[in-house]
Amino acid sequence: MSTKATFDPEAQSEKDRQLKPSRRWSFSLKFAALLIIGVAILVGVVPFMPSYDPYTQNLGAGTALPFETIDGHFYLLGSDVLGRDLLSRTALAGRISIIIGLSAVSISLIIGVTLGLAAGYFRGWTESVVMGIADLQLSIPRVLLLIAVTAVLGSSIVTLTVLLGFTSWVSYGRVARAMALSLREREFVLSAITQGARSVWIMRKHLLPNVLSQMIIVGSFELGQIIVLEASLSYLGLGIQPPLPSLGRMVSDGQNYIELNAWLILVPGIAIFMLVAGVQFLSQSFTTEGDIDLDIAKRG
Amino acid sequence: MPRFLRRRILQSLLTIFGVLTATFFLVRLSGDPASLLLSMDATNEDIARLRTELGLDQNLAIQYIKFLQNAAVGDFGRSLHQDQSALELVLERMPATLELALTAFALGLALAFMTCLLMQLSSNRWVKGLIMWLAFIRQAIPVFLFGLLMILVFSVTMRWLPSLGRGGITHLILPALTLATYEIALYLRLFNAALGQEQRQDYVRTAYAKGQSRIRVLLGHIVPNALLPIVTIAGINLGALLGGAIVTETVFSWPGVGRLIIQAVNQRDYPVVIAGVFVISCTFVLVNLIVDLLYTFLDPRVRLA
Repeated sequence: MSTKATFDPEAQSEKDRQLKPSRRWSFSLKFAALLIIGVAILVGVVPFMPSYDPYTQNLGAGTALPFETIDGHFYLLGSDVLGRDLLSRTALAGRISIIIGLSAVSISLIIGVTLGLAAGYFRGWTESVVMGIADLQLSIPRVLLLIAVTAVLGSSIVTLTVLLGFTSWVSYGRVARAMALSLREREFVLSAITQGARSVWIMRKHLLPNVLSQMIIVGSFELGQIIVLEASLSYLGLGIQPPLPSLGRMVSDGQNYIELNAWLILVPGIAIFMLVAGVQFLSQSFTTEGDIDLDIAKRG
Repeated sequence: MPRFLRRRILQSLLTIFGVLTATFFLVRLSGDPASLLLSMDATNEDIARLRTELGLDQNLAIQYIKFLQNAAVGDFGRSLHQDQSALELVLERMPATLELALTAFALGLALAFMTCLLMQLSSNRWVKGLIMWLAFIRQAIPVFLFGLLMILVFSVTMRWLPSLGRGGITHLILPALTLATYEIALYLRLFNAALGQEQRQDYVRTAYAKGQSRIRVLLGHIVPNALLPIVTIAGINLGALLGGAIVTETVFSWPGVGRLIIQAVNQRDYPVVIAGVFVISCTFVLVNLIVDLLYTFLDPRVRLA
């Protein structure tokens, strides 16, 4: 993809600063904090409430509205078609989303950093192979790739996490490679080589610490993407399988009753939004400070 | 043919070859394809017959070559649920997908462009900030959720627009809008950067010095010069749009390739899944190729890269 020349990144970030002075960024950080606290209360506090019960069905209490009490059970945010407490299910589903998201990001970060550093440090055929695979992966939409793979391999939580991790390493790989290309020419690397250091040692002790903060910024951006991907797959029926609740599946279940009770969509929908927006605004405030060219990482 | 062009076309062919190889081994990896290809209630004799029919009792390398040979002439087998060739079934749905994707593409571009001009003309910093903020908010709502919110507002509550299926232009509005606003934050950021970069050029100062109005300078001088990067970015995103279209089609029951693939997955209709993945990947690769070539055509400097 050598032809993806865009414009001068310096001018671009300068323009961004003009557009959104530092005051705005602190606002976006505040907004992110607010959303993240909201999510934290949802997934951290709700499961300890006495009414927490994501599984018990009560067909007589189906599609209860928020604040409704049926058969002595108080439904703070209503119930789904089978009479299960929506708030409890959303809390549990949110937990699962976060766990899958963080695990998948860790997997892809490890794969991406390893391959990217190796490609940038060794150059030669290692670089050709790694970047060839990266280009190959970028030339298929990620959703399509995941649909095809989950269709065949199934989608337990572990499979899903691993698949998400393995299909998302490219952003880290590209940024890590680009940084390794310049780091390998620096004096401290040369000095290590003269002292007889092995390549693996150099990559671990000299290159890794230098790319790690950038990798975490890419990771914060990817986390939002992965949560959206997982929710989308679950919405399509290919992600997390029942009886485990998932935000995407809850929305798709609610779609059939959209005329009857919109809360079935809105409750899990708002949870998805809080989760994704919280992560996204957080990474947004990182990127202006860290000044990383996310557009390189973002393709695909 | 210039060297660059040759290399780029070769790369595209290699990608499609890679997709086919990956699909082949993926299906083999998951166990006996014969039992996958047949419906759940197939007997052992059925499976054995299909195994010989498909040549599954042969060596893996021979199977692989046969698969590639068939794929080269567009033969992915027959659908298990409709008595029709898998590729035909997919190609029948292609116009619907293209209609949605291209409408969304044009709409998104127009929308982002207008908004961007508005932001450039407005001297109010709060207006600019608010627009960007709204764009980021939109970005944080997944396509399927945004689509359902649109249905909720415009179909269920207001009863203005139909929510499902494909028909006249009214059916197109909601899914196209859902998809069009998908990348708006990215567009706005890049468009603003492109326009902003031109804004600092000497010819702009000259134009202002001549006493031209702000709108005149913007539309007459800056926009034509900033168009090149904008066109490129937009082209690259056309590919990404295809991915979003798969999900959008399911939300709005839009009879396109994406929905077909999802249905085929749920029915375990593997020939259709493979054909669908193949067609979408080819489209994606083709779009990327055209964009790259267009870019070298518009800006010859890129060829040196």
